[in-house]
Amino acid sequence: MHWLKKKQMKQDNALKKVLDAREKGDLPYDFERRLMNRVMLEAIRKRRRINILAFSLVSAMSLILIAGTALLFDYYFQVDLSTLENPIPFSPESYEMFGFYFYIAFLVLILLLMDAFIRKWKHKAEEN
Amino acid sequence: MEQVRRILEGETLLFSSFLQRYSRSIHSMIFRIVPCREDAEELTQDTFVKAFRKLDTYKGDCSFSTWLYRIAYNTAISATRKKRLTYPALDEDLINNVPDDAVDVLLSKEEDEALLQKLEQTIDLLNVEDRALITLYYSEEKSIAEVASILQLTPENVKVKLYRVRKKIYALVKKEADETR
Repeated sequence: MHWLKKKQMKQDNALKKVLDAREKGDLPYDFERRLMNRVMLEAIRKRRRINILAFSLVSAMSLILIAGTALLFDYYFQVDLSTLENPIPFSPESYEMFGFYFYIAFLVLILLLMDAFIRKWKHKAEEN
Repeated sequence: MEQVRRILEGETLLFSSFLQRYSRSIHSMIFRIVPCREDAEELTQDTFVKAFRKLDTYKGDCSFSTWLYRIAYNTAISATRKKRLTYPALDEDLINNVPDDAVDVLLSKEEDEALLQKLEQTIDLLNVEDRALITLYYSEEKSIAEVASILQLTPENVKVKLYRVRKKIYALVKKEADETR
């Protein structure tokens, strides 16, 4: 391969001339805009995939924790949950507290919705 | 690398600067491998979408353009493989028996219009891998190391392939000339 040493193969001027003269093809004027739209859609899909994965992981971990707790009660504390007649005893006083519990739950829900809305609004503002 | 990190953190709009910088050169390379306007445009789009999807795998061990060219090359090659194109087969002995000096002389005659025309036709007879190789080396003026990185070959392998493609071009030109006689 003696020609490899000769000017590092750059002596093939005829071949280079032919290749340079070949049509390079033009891109349409709105090519970058259309492509960027596809990329943005891909970014949304990517984010959605990550969210689904995170949600699945949290769900799986919760199930594992519940199952672990049940096994702990069953094997370690020797408590058979299925035979308990009233596992969570409710007294008339505890029924009175339900209104308060629902009020707190409602406030938490409102705060979560506000958090989601503000995050979405902030993200949109960053993109623009 | 900083720009890649910011895109991965959610600043998707920064990706448009990569489009502005590389879309024309990537499209030009693909168009020379796949000489169909619509296909080349579609494959250029696919290249950038794949690059965006795999951005987290870019570790900075080569330049961003080399990494992008590698994706473009793989995208174009797999698209052409699906079409099952056939190219004229040449006898290995015929290629091996081509004298080096004859190839050097033939490929240096840049003023010979008839030869340039023949070379133009011969390039279309090369398979896509060979066409990509000479396009990257001669037209895109990539170094042997860059071509090796794009084609995922060793530099030595690239040199051997280029050496063989030159001989193949010579053999095809001679074959064409013999047939027209």
